[in-house]
Amino acid sequence: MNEYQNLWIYAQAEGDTLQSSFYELLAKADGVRELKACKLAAVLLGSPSESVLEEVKRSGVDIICIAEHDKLKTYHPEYASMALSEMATKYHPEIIWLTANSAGGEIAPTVACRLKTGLVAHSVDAYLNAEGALVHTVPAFGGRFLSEELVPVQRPIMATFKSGTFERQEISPRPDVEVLREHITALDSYVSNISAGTLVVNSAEEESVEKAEYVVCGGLGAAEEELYAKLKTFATRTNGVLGYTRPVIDMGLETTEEKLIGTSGKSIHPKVYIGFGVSGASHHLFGIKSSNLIIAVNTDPDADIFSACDVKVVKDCDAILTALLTELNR
Amino acid sequence: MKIAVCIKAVPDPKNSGNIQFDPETKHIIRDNVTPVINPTDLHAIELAMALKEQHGGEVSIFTMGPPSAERQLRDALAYGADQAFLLSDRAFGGADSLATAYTLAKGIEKAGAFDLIIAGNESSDGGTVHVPSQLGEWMGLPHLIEVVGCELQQDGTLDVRKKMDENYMDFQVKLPAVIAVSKSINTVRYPNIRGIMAAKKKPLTVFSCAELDDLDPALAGMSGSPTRNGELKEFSFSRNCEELTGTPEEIAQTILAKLRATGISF
Repeated sequence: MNEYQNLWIYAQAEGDTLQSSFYELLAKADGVRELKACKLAAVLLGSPSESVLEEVKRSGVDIICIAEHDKLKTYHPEYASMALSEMATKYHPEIIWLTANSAGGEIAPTVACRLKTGLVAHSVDAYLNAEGALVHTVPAFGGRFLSEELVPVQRPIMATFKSGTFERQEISPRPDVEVLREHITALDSYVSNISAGTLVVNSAEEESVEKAEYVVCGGLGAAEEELYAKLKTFATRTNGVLGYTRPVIDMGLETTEEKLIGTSGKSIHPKVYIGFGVSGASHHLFGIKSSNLIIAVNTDPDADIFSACDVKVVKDCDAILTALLTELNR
Repeated sequence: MKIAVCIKAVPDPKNSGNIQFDPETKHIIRDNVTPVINPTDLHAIELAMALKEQHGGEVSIFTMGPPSAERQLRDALAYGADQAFLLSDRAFGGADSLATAYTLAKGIEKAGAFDLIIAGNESSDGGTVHVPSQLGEWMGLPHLIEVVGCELQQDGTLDVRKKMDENYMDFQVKLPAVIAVSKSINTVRYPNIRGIMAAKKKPLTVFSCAELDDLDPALAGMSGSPTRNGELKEFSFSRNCEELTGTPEEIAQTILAKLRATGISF
């Protein structure tokens, strides 16, 4: 029998709140469990609250692995990575999935390096290929392609997924959920060269592009100062949240990735998405695919976004934006 | 203070539309795309220069890549860095993040002891954000990514603020350490003509696989990469698409009507 088995999902919790992306990964993992006839485990670091533990028990996993230590109570990248590596070394999961948020995105490459294994970043799908090997797909260059990524030899196979990649599904709870508690002894005497962290709550709360019902997005074709200013005015005037693609950051028009839309940024699911000068690289299209209505304005009739939208406008962005602003001021 | 900065040559994001993909060979055709320093890496260089100005020392730039990456190293030197190292060998080709981080670690160790190693948080092409953490791991050094602020204290520790989703976390890190910085950490000062001229004469060392005597070739390049590319799949996002035609005024009216029809009020 294969020494490596089961699929682990790293479940993050804050107090009594289990991060919702756990359920998204679980929905996809349930399918893999069926195909591979393996078990699903949720891995928690620190000491989860009773209510979180109960919630995970009812989520549909077969096993709950808890790495226990006082040093795991607040996020510390080195301690968290040590704990997950220790757990994986002891229990030999075949697959480990993490959410590609700040914690997961830092722990995943660290653990992959400690275990000397392969990690797929920002995957959008997972399935078994004709040979029965687990494949993760990632959007590739060119706009219309998905590249299959494999980890043929090393185990565990690791992958991260942006939150919003999969839709949550109801999975029936398993009758006898096994709970494994492991005290991470390696942490007892170990002192990191990184101090304990202090959380600084960002008081300048900005509207989130992930939760927005209506998103206006600027792409390369709108990544020019005057045009981008018009786009901003349009978004404000119509009460939309303005997001963007990477060229807008590269041109210095935005400085953070806070509202970068796509699989390397935020995946969104608004009622309406309207893109100006967005060409539609697959990274971006995967990030907007859950939008109810997609409107795209681009001068290039061959832009890839036109094969992924509901309403297409092959026109100059400046002309359309100017007309929109004129209409709004009427 | 001795600082190492890791950079990556990437296809110029400003004309990334010119990148073609050959689904047969799975190769990226980047003939029409000029390589540039990965945009976020400019902020790593800027931070290194600012620290050097405040505390003195030396800044060394590292990259792994083909011989042509010398051009991006010279560009980096124009920002005021003192020397550059190019890790270049066919044996390094086909590397995933684990093997890339390993090779960079061996190159940096070969070049000397550094107090701080700075990388750009993410590349504009791959964008995995794996290499900085894995570089720290291979070198046995503490590491933090998504760094948006940092300050060197009198006692030699580094105060670091990193992004934690929508919030921040503050840490103190004992040097030596590896940090990966986000664009918001600073504003890049672009080089002047004097910097560009001086860069031409600054030392640039090329390390091949054989010259990195501590490097195990089995851990570099394709042989050191646990991940493999499989099939390329064409993906369709297709929806029933309606095209709006007419004058910009007519189109604008229809767009606004569609927005209002979904319940959005303005």
